[in-house]
Amino acid sequence: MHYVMVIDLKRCVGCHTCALACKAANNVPEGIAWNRILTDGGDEPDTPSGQFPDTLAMQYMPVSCQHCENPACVKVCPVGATYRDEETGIVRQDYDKCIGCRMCISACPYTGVRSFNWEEPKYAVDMTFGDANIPKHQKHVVEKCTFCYQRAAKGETPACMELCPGRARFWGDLDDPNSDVAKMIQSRSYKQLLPHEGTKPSVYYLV
Amino acid sequence: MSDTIKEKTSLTRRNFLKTTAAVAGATAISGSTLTAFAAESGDAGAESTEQVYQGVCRGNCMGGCPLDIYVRNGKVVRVSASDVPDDRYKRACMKGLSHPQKMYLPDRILYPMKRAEGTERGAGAWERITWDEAISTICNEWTRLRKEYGTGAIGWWTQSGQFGLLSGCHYNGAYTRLQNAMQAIPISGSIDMNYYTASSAMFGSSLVSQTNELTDFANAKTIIAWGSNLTEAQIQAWHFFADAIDNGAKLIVIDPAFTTIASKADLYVPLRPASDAALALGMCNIIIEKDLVDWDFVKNHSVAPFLVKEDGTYLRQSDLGLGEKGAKTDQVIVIDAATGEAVASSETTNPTLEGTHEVAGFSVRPAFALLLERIAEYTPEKASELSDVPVEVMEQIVDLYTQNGPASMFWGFGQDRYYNGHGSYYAMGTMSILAGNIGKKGCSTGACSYNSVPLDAKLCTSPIKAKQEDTVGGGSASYTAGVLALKMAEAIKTGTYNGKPFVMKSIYIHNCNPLNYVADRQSILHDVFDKMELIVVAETRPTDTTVYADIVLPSAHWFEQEDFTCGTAHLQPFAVLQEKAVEPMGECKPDYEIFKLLAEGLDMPYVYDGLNSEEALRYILDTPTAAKFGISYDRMKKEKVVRWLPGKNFIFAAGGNFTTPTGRAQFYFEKPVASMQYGQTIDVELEHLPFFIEPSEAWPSNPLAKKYPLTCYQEHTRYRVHSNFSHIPWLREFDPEPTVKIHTKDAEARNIKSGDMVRLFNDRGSCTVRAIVTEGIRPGTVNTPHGWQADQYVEGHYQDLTSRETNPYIANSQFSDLLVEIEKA
Repeated sequence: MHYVMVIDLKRCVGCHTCALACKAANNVPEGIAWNRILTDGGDEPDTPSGQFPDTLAMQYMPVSCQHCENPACVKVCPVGATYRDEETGIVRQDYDKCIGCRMCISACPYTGVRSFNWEEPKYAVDMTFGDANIPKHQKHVVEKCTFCYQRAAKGETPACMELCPGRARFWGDLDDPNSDVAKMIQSRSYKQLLPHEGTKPSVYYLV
Repeated sequence: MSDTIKEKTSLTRRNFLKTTAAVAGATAISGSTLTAFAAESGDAGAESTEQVYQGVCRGNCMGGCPLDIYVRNGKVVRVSASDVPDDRYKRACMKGLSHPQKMYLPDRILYPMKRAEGTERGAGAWERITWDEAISTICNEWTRLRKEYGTGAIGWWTQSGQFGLLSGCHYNGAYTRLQNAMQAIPISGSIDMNYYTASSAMFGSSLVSQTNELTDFANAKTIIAWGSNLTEAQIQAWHFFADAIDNGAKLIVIDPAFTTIASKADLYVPLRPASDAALALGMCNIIIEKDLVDWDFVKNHSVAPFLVKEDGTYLRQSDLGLGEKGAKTDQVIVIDAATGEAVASSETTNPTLEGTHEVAGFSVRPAFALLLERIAEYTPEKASELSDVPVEVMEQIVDLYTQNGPASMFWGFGQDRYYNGHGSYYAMGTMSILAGNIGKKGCSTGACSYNSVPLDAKLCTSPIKAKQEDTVGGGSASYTAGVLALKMAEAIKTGTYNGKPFVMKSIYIHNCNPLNYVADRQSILHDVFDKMELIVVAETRPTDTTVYADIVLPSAHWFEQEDFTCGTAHLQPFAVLQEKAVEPMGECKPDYEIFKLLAEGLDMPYVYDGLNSEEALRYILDTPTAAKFGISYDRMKKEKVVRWLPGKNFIFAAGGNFTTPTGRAQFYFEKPVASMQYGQTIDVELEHLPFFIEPSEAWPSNPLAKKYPLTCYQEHTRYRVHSNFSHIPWLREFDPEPTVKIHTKDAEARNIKSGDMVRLFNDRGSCTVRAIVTEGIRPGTVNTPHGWQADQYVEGHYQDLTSRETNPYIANSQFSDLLVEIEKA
């Protein structure tokens, strides 16, 4: 089994629903984002490149851990805290093993998908939101998208995939040729981030 | 984008540290003694069982999203989009998903509060009181004021906070029972009225107004999104457009700002703000010149052939001595092109559209001839000059709209916010009539609005028990007509409104935040609020308005009560039951329960007759009216989400049958009457037909433009719904502070760089916000988002800039008819 995400950039309108779904389901602490919606355009969010009015262009690009088949992070982790789950293709982390060396952050070519809890995680509300069985966030630990492992491991839908208002996000088993994701990758043009790094990401962007 | 994400210059990253600081600051300001903190321990028992309840997010974003509410240990821990009877309407956005955080933030108002003794309004000092003290204080004061000044001394202010039928602002909402029984004066915010009034006048109203159901947009081959940033303001509508694009449709976006939907367009048309009517009339002339008119539609489904007398009214059968004047059967007369005879409109399919005729002693002209005369001035060249849209682009739009059908036009509220807004919609609608792009699969025009499931209005809005004689009597203004918020300052100052005495001494405010959304906020504050003896606000958290209240009542969150929604302002076809998922926090009560307490306190227990939420819903829903649409309380209880809209792909005015008084699409208006009467005069001649006039402020020829050269409009971004969701940390991480978008050239001329704090100002006021310098906005215009609250500004408020002026014909808030200058703060 190889879980992948397919994101249709023609449909994505940068609404941030997937970003908030991630945050809420995983009780992600204040100031941390596992799933960011970047603007491919001007220098500021929600602004285009080009010149008014004829050459303007803007696209949104949701970016989170790419769950690589050949993950750079796994190779550098000195304690085996980050590893690829061969049953699902999900790149996982064991918070209890993590020693906070941040080697994985340096090694990962996808800047910003990981974050480090320098302080005790902070919350605006003193209660635990989200899924019932998520691991507790810890100080001095590296965090990132888990592909909602608490769900995916049971075949349930990751939070960011529960409902995309633009119908731009899809997930499934790429090893199953009849899955929606396999069919989309067969039939549509797509790109992946930094293919020359040889990481073989599990996130496909339809273009 | 290149394939390397490390090239950060081509990508934009949020500065999360800055975000956190901004949010912290905002919380500190709002966390006065008004907010009672609820210390809650961590949710240790994470493995305990979850219960799932039906909910519905019901603000005024037009989403109306049915949500599953997950509860653990008596707390809402997460929500997700509910399964609904039609997957295409499954919906939720980040605002809906943020409810759990919203419910338990420390800023929730948990207890009734009164302004601390000896402090001024707005000082922010509060004392906790009991419900008994709150209700008796309010009701004793209201009773005194009603005796002294009449029933009109109490104003009732609600707008669009939430659309629950019991606790919300739905126009058939339970609050109307008390408002009517008290004969309190409804205060009209008058927002979006250019659109609603103009589109209803042209096309009538139906179960969906005035477009086809959203699912039908996928059938269009050409879509024009005009003045609509639906990818931000109506996120749930976007994927229907995306489906159309996937099916090969061409998308045209007409908007001064390069919005997200503009980034998806085949053709982006950045017109000058408020020139929409000129642009549309120019395109009408192109349609006529190139003979691209759908003549069958125009002759048989519009008022084009109707003969107009010199007094502006239609020539009818009764004028010819046939039939009774004023009767529904009194048809308008047309001239049969084949015989030259004057006949009833139903008697020919080939009427004349031209000329001047003498019929039974009346000199008459077809409405179409009057239209041609009215719009002749707007040649493509003239329209181009006014709108700054090249003639070739106008021709390209016309070509796609008339030749690449089916074609639909989706109107936004961008053009609504100007003095000339209804003229814009008249002109756009006329373009659709000429093209015959209405009433067919894939063809509709308007801003989509699913109306409410029809309910028995009298049952909804009258006291439950027979109305008892009100012993107070009197009253200074009609409680049925209401008062226009934009004119209240004058009414209070002069003591007259619409030629009658006007005295208002107290206002009850629920489901709205007027000091955020009413234009010319400083005037509302000083000329209205300051003149009141008692201001009561029911709210869930501190707002711009609670700050100036005398008594604040703690409203329950939407998920803490049972309620029902049924379509109003929601772009989906479902009635949805809101189940009570958890107990209200603190001493919060559903607004419905507060209305009941007030009714009892005023010795009007018969208004609600003590009905609990289930009894109240059964009273309204278990009726023949609701049954016609398959709605009953028991069915709602069982199925939770029920489609009430008939069919599966609703077509508005199918077959060209309209619900207007003439039964036809109207571009001629026989007897123009102002939408609200406040003693003004209107230009009847102008209002008969589509027109372009300059906006009142934001136009280059206005001398004020020398001093304040920038037109300032206020987009409705995806990150909040008006001022709702304004202080939710999850959302503020994405969108931490008020901003203004300014074009590169305008920024350079003022030495402004992205990230600079800048001050927007005019003679009315100012606000200081963070600048975003971009090419994605028309030079000469700036865009500062709507809905930020005062405590989130370094200085000022966006509504301190806006004007209270309104068009005499349609009472409407013209927020964007606004000139400002900007300087570095």
